[in-house]
Amino acid sequence: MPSNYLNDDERVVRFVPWAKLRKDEDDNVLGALPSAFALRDDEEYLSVTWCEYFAGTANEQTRCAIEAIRGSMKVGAKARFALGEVGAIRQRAEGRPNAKKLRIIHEPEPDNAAHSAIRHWTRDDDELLELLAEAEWSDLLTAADADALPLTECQKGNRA
Amino acid sequence: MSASALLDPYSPSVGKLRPAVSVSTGSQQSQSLEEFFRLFKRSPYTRNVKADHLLLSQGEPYQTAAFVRPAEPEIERALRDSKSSFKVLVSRVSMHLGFEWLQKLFAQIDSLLDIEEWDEKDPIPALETARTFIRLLLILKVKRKPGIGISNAGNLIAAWTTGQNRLTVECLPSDRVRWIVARMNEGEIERAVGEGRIDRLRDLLQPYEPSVWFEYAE
Repeated sequence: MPSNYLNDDERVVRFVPWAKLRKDEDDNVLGALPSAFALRDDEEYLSVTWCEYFAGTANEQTRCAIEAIRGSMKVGAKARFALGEVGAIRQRAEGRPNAKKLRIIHEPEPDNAAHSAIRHWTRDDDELLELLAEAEWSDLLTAADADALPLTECQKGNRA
Repeated sequence: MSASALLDPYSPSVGKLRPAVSVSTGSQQSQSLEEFFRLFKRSPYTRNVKADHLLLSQGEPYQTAAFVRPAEPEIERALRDSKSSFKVLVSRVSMHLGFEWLQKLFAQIDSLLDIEEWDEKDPIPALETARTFIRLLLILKVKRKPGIGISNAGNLIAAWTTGQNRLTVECLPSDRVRWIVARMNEGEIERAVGEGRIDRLRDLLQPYEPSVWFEYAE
């Protein structure tokens, strides 16, 4: 089956656990830490969930992507969902010195049909991760934000 | 009811069993679970026992009952141990931190290592990173305290943020740190990353005027 590459105008959600949020001394959330977007040693790609896998309006698609994450892993009440645009993430990452061209591919998993993989992701560029946290992936949704988005039956869209 | 069943006494299923259960605590026999709980709490042998589940077994002449604690999942135990170790380390230097900060730091530790929020793919912070974190705070002698996070390697992260000025310090073992700086200067953000010993950090950050992170604005 041919790979289904995500388009630059499409969006992906990255789950950010509480421990990887940037906070002040009173635990007020100020953003995401660079580690929220870092690969673990045993990971070959960065896991994200593709919004446009689902049918509906942009908000409906975002809600479905978040529900897909919630259905596939433990999500704490204080965690966030970082929403980013594929093209902007790609441009930022590929613009770094010695960067490889990213491959952002729909790779469904049994518990998350919209799961996608960002391959050729950096293993050592801390500054890139900081930049992404500060800009391209700075739109962080709380659980309440997510719950306020319209919920549909989350059917597959035309792009899936 | 099966010969032996493990039940949560606070779950609705217990209520369903209530009419059928007769339990004994030795000398006294109870006719209901409610009565059993009351006896259990009153008895000098059992009133201090903390238990989460009730083990019921059917036998003659009585059904017998005993409270047991379920095995604690490994991750919960590891997080609890990490919290304790971290707090012990903090307590040892409490005279340098002050009571207010100590309380705040304990709250941050509890919050960071909360099992409800913990991503099970992340390694639990080891004592070495906690030691570096505390030494970092003592050496820097900051007025403004950092937020705390974690890296994928399980190292503690100290983060200072004032507007667009961001300092992120990962606490590595053996008094070493990896840092990332984003510092606004004349309308432009300057960035730097580095790694080194804690005792050099303030000097290494000097070009970025670290007081923006470490001091409160006048």
